[in-house]
Amino acid sequence: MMVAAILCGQCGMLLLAAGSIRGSDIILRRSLSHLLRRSIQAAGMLLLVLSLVLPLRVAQAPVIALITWPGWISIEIVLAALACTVLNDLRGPRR
Amino acid sequence: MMGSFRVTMAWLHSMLGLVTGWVLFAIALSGSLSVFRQAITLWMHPERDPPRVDPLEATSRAIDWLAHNAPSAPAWYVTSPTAEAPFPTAIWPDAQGTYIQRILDPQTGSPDGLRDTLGGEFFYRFHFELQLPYPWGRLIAAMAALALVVGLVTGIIIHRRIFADFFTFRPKRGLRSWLDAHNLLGAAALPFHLMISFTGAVTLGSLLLPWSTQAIYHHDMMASYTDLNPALYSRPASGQPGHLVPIRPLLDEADRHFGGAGIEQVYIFNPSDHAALVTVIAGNDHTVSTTTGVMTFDGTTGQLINAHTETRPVIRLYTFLYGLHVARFAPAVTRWLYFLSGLALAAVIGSGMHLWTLKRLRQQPHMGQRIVCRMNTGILAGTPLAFATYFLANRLLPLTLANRAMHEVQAVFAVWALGITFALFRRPDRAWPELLGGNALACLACRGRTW
Repeated sequence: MMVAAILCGQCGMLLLAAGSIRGSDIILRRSLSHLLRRSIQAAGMLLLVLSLVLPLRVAQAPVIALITWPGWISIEIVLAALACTVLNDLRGPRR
Repeated sequence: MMGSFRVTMAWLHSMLGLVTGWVLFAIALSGSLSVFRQAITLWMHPERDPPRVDPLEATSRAIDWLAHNAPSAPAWYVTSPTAEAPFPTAIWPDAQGTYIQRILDPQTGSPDGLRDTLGGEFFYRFHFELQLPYPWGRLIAAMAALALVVGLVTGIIIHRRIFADFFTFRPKRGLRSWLDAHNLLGAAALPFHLMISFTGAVTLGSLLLPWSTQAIYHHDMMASYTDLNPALYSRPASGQPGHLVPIRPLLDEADRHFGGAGIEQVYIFNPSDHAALVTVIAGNDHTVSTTTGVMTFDGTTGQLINAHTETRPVIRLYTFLYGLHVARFAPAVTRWLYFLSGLALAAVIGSGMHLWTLKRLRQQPHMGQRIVCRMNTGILAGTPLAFATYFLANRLLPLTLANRAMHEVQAVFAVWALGITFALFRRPDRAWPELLGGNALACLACRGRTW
């Protein structure tokens, strides 16, 4: 369950990155419409919420799961940012 | 109007960083390490793997040892073994009033054969006392925590655009890369940073705002402690000798009363006096809050004097916030996340300090700015080197050396002073790689050899 929650969180964070102006340029190699970006970000938020709900459902102490979740989010943000950096370096700037 | 507000916030952010950055960096780094203080203490006692002994039995043996070896001490403070720290720890004052702290063997209750070291307790104490006498270290730490709260809030205001697109790190771009790293780590772990700085300031709040306590209790601090901890009762020694009752039955009774929370600490006041007291403090397994249950027994009769289970909402809120800060509840994963987020905080502070000097060095820096630049190098690269030295000193100092624990701590400050002096007299572009290389070597030496 923990692995599923972490995967959901990381995918959600990558979707949030892909839904940002700079991130969509790097990850999707195209500029997206405002509506499409918002939709991708909404999907990302949904996965992030799922990454919180999954451990809360099985936790013996939900408050500890709640405290732990932002720690995972921090790592997922840094990994998503580093993924953007590596992709940008590998592909070269689009603009 | 909005522009001038942000400019003011930017000025405040820089000034707070400049004034408190060095001490905050050391506090953040030592705080991160103290998350693993039990594991560090275990590593620093390599003589043997402590055998798993029933915590109550180990605590009882520790108290027996103290009764034979420190009978004239006015108080003994014994921490029970836990799964993470399978050994009891005892603290007691010697004849000069200097507190001695020793890890005790859980089977014999004696410190014999175990090296004299503070272990992870050094980082824990340094984190909020800065190795300074009371109250100065705690006061500085409290003000630094408050400055960190303000620094974070002003940082959110001045870097607000980062939240629109915080997946940005552009390496190899000098100043821009440092700003990206500062913003990325600051935004990524912001909930943790806000929580840890706020709970840190609350933990030391009575030092920051002492006036309400003074207004109510008029310098009678004991009365305020009694109100805060009704069962943590104390009384002066009577002057008549007395003998402690067998401790184990009292521990069993307290353990039953606490209903599975276990026993965290046992305090014994006036142990050789007729007015002896035994105070047993409950553990807090699986709860964020720290201690909620306390029982006090008469030390010579074994009669229960007072028992208190904390239910007052304000006190419970305080113990929750304190528990959130010290993370005693935390399972291994949460502990690692605390550690990494703490390192991120140290990196945010360090990158902010480095950014300040990089910006000034691009113009015509005056002497003061050059000194700050070199001090930054000494603190940012010298502090981890000094902390790594603590681990090395634990392995290198002779086991029979008198005051060995004190010499380990002195080694930290000697290397720290050397690192700062080196950075002050060496060009920063040379000092950085040399000090960081020293860090790498020290860490490899700690890890790479079977000691």
